[in-house]
Amino acid sequence: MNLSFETFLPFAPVILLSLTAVLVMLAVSIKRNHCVSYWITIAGQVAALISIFSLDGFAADRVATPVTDLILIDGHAYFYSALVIFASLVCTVFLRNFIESYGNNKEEVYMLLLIAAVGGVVLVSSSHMAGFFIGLELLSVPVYGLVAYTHERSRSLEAGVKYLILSAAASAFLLFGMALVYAQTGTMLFADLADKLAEHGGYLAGFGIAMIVIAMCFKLSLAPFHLWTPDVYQGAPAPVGALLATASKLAIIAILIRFMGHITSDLTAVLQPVLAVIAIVSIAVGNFLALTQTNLKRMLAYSSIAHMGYLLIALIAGNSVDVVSANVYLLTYVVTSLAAFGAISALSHGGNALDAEEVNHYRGLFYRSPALAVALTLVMLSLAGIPLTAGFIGKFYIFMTGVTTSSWILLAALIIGSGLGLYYYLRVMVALYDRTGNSQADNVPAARASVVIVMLLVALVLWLGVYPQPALEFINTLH
Amino acid sequence: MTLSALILIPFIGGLLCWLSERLGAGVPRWIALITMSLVLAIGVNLWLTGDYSSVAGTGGLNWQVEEQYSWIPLLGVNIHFGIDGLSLVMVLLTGLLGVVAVGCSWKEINKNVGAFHMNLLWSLAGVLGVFLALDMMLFFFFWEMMLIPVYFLIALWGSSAHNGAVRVKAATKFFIYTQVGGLIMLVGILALVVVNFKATGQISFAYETLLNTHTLMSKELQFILMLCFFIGFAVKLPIVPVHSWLPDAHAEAPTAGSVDLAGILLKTAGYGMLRFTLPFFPDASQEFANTAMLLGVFGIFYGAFLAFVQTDIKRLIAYTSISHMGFVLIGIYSGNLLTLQGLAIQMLAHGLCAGGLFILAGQLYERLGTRDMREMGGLWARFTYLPPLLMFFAAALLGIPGTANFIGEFLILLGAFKVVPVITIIATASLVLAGVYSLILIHRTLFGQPTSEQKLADLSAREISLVVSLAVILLVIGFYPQPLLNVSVDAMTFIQQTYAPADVSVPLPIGGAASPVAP
Repeated sequence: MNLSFETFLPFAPVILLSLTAVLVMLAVSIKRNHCVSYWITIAGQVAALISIFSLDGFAADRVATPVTDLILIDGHAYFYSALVIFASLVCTVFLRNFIESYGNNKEEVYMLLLIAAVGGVVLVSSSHMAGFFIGLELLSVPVYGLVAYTHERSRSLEAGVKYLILSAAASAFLLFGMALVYAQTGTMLFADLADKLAEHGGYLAGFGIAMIVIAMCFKLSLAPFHLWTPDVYQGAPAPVGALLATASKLAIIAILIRFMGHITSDLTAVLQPVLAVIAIVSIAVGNFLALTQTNLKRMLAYSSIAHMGYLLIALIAGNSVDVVSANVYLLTYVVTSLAAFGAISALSHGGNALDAEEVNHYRGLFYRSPALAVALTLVMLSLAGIPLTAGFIGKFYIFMTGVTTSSWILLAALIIGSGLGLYYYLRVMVALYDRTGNSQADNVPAARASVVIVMLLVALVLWLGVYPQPALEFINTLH
Repeated sequence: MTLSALILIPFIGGLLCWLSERLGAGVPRWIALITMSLVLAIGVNLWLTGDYSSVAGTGGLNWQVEEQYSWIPLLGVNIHFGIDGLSLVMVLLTGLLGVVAVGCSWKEINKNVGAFHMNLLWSLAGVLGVFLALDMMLFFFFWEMMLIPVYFLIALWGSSAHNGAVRVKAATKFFIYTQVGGLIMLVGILALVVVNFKATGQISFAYETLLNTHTLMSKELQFILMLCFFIGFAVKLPIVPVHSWLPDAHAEAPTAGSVDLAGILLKTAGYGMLRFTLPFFPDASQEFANTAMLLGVFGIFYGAFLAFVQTDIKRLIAYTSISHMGFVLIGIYSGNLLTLQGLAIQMLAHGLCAGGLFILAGQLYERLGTRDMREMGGLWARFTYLPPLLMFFAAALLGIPGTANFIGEFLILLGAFKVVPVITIIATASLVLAGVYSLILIHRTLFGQPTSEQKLADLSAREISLVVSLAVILLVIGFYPQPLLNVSVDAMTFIQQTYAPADVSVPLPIGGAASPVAP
């Protein structure tokens, strides 16, 4: 293969992000300055975002371009990349406010964040088992550090270790699965997978693919592989929670969609009922366990389990993945989750022993910080999937998929899950307006930059909910 | 623009209420009052300028005003409003009760007045949207949109009798019930759209397009989808197995919330069944009619019996609503023009009557500090104006001739008798129970041994004018229902003809230009 500048041009976002990570590292080694590191990070991510658009990433006549065998850049890869970078950009702003008051070294956090973003982008564009694995590890390893960054908090450290062990287990599954598939088919390229599977298919390869899917389920915290989620969400600093809930999940869903597009239909037929059970169990477990939570982060963790269950419906109902539904759902979920964790981040400070994570912290928030309370109200409505918010549009598409493919059982799970979900979302929502607010949280000031970002995200939530046409049109033209 | 204005005015008015709160508590109240009066005025104007009986007898759709804007072309979703006689009756009811709801919270609500009125007006905007939407997606948006403000009304401004947790629980129950019902209906809507899409290649949520979809699907599917719609509306109506949110919600809601709920929100379900369930699935609905009517009969008795044993005056009224909605259900499914015309009046009358009763209950609570009827008694001597008014509304509730309730129930029973005589006879027998619970309501509150001889503060001019205006309207309709029957005749003929075309041969002398009323 002839490696030239043109070959790597479509890969510019990754290159820019990697360069930024190096720059941040250099800046730290020359002189520690929080502000400088922060702005380098912001600039790097904005540049990466711009590069995606300036490369005509979404032009209608774009063809999928391979960058070596490992990477294949197409419209979807760019879409997910843009979302990953957008999420990490937003998290950067949340992180700054959060880490400002943190007593120890602050600057490295940006480096870790950038590397995770690189991993996410590599993961969503990989077209080869090796790219898949490298991307996943690049995404996960920095996140151990991020989760345990505030290691003075014992929960944070504990969460970091838990996430490490879980990720290691998932990686082991993944690698073994890949090895089995390779052993049988002799290929690591996604593109050849279907043909080779049809040719040499057998139990070994099927088993391998099942293990790969299980590894993904671990990472997506689908039940019954969800046990780590609440602890890690609770222990991780709030802005890192945002990253975990959005960029990380999104990248894994993206690669799962791409991967599932390349396996043979008889394998899919075997996987489908299993994944359907996983989806239903996730919806049930997530919603039931969220009912009694008094900790907002844990509640969001369980709710994310349920949401991943909903999303799985788009992947498994019918004969092929409903990519449009999945993309719409991902978009709405990412925006909403970012806003939710952003609101927590805005009230949390790295210097304190705990984040503002108990529901009690939010009691009567409306009378202290009306803007944030109204924003959080809309976020809760969006998570619950109430019309006029983005969450409804996402759920609407899942409903549409379910109805089109006549998956009545999955739809029933979706309806019951949504009903249960209302209970805990509404509880948080109404607490915001409770006048009998307690005093422990009254003096936590909301970080202004984070509040502004949360408001912008909520505006986006409303816009997607009220006038989704442009976004839907955009997603429909992706290819 | 008129129809969008009907929805936008309360929406914008609500925002203004919220923003103007800092200018003083009185400002939002006046803004809300003016807003709702404006809505009512537009409604009346639509009534006077439109001709709602111009296609009488032909059974065509008769939209007097129609508006359409593009919204999400990708999904075939448009902003499409239209008004016919049925919508108009509902819009008038909403406007009127809106004014009344603002009026009755004038003194009751003292905290966050602006936000309260915002929620009240937004819920009314949602309701108006439901009555006007001719696009199923738009309809569903409004259907869900009206819930959130009502949730807040109950959870934040509800009864102070218990601690906040009870209110929140009632509000949450209300929300979850209706939301789950709504989602089931959404499945029905989407399935309808998908069937239509698969047959025609056109994705569309338009009402008139989907009207013909039932011809494209199998009987079983039609029945299932009909059930989806039915469940969605049944929760809101409410029909007995899925009714348990209603008494709780009423017990905890502020007066305006109760007026809003009983008077208007419940009617959206009746409206939905008439407008969507019957015309979308005529065959399946006929198949289901007997079951539905049995549910209705059961609800009538169940509501009446439970109303009788209540000690909380608001819960009593809530259970009578369940009982009355049983009549509505029978009226809907017996499906001849007589019952359908009666239905329009019955829904209006029940809205006004329940609204009036809830306001009186609220006024009693303001003065006595309790809604427990065991602690009342002998109030006749302690007020001058309140007792006769309460008595009037209780009489209207049991459907005494001369009130609109009588006309409604009479027409429904008369029409239903032709279709389902047995069920009708049983339902008629329940009127005795209506007498019982109405009398027990009066008896327990007004008569008996007073707990004290002390006079209580009587109704103010504001309160009297609110309640009296409702009473007058009930009387006017009770004595001269013809103008209303003329308004709803085209819409009802259309529903009747799609639902039971066989029945057309029997001319019914009820309203409209084509069928002059027998003297």
